[in-house]
Amino acid sequence: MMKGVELSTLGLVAVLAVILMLAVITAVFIGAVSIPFTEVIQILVYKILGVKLGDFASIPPTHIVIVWELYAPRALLGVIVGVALALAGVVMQAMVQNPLADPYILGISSGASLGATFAFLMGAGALGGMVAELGVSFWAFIGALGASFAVFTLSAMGGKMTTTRLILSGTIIASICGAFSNLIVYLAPSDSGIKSLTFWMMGSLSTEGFDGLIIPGIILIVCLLFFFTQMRPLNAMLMGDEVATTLGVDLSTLRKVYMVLTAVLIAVMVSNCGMIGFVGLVIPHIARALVGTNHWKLMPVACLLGGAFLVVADIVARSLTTSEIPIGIITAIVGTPVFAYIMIKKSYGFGSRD
Amino acid sequence: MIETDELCVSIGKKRIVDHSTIHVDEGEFVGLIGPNGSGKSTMLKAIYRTLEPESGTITVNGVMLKDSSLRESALNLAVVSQHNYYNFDFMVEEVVMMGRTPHKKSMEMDNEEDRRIVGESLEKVGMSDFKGRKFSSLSGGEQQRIILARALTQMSPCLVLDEPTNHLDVKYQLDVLDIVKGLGSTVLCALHDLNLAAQYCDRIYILEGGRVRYEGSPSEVITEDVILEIYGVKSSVEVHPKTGLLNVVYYPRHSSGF
Repeated sequence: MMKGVELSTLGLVAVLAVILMLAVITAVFIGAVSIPFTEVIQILVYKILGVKLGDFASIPPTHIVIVWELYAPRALLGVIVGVALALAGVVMQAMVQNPLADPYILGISSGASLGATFAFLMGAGALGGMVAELGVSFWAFIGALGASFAVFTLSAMGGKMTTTRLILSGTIIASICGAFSNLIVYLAPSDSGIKSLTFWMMGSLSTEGFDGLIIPGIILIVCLLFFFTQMRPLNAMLMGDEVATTLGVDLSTLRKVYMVLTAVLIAVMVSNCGMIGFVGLVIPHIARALVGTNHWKLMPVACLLGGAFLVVADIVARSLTTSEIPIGIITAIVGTPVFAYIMIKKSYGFGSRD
Repeated sequence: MIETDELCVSIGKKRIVDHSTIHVDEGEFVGLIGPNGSGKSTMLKAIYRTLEPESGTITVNGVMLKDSSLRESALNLAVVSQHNYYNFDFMVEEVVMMGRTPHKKSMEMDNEEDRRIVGESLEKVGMSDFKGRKFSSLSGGEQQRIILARALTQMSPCLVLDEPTNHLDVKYQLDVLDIVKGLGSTVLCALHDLNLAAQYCDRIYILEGGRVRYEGSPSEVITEDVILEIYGVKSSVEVHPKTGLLNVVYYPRHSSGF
């Protein structure tokens, strides 16, 4: 019987991998400028394999730029961010043993917002030059990382780093960051930055060229390699601190390592694409509804689902109107009903009994 | 073997276990009894390493705890604590499989041997048919037997149980203790029920205020005088004619024996 379960999970993983690939291919030729499918294939084959297929010379150079510099990297960024959010969501939910945890729970989002607020609104002010030069991404990254390390330090202070202390510390740091963000907005000399800030917070996968993908890609691969060796401790963590300890899992060390890795991972993603909500919360639950709580199955399924979901959400965000709708809006609009559905569905109780 | 030597454990500023020295020999079933707040659970928590001792030493299977990793400890000692509740739902087989955690390298998949051990453990607790069920769909007694199966899957020579019969009905109380007794492992078990303690333990420690007050065989320590002294309750203790085991009957205030 066990064998059968494993086979069906492998089958599901294969299906999801195919869906992810199809989503990426679709994303590459859908956009504001419609480019014929054959041209897209010709461009991709030329850029990846160096082979000029068919009547390559007749393809307008702008099409090559759009496909290779805009659409392809954007699709890939969608995969990277989607996988990262799903991965971090799964890890975070295990780490704080709470089904409502998401990658942003430990202060990361509030810290990133504070950083971004600082960059957008101070950039126009007296400090202008220096702040603006480093860019929004830099400040969001600093804010995100700073906030998660503040949560980390606070929760470890004066006692063991328990799940409750982690969540409470997250709430405390989020409140402080929120207060300072609001203070900056209140004191801002002009309104011009506020709209850019709002748009930034809603998230976007827009990117130019593949250079911007290098750092997110590397950190994601490092995290994937690491967390795919952590299935047993992650499973044990869900049994609670006491049981995990008696199973020989060194929680206090592992929590620190997990926190540092997810904090860096999510800080990089947020600084690149803003706040894309619901993926890190909903995708792990959908995956759990499909294959159960065991991380051996949950982790690969959640990662593939996350990647595919975000790429599809971006396709929707780009093709609904002539301009681009911020992707955070799409993920929330699609994510919330799905979340509501799995909550209503009786067979999936978020793991709890009632 | 499980030994503590002059063990002290404090929670905050309050000392809960106070210079307690106990030992459990190989294959022995030792009971830990005492009123609420006497330090039973705290002592066990120090032994299974979720609490740090303030002073004194703990040795499990000849290894000093402070010299060994959590993983080594898990290979020497398995734990069944008071009733468990989980925020996330696992299948029964997955819960039991977690007992293999200390035996496996991080990337190692479950193999045939692990599955065989899981199967055997489930059989020992009489829960083989529940393998594919969700843990949360089981009753309290069934869940406790699954937790026991997980502890068995750990294949460790020593077993610590913290009131394993709590919240269970009579049948399951006897079931769980019969299974444990049948293992022949080195067992240290905190119990509330003096009758169960008298019926199952080879030897008993009575704790009060974090100190060991009495130690000995059930018939030596479970006496009318000791029960009156420790619990402030009048009782009669006799060998039951049918079971041949000690039997404690308490006298409530409204009874004629009071």
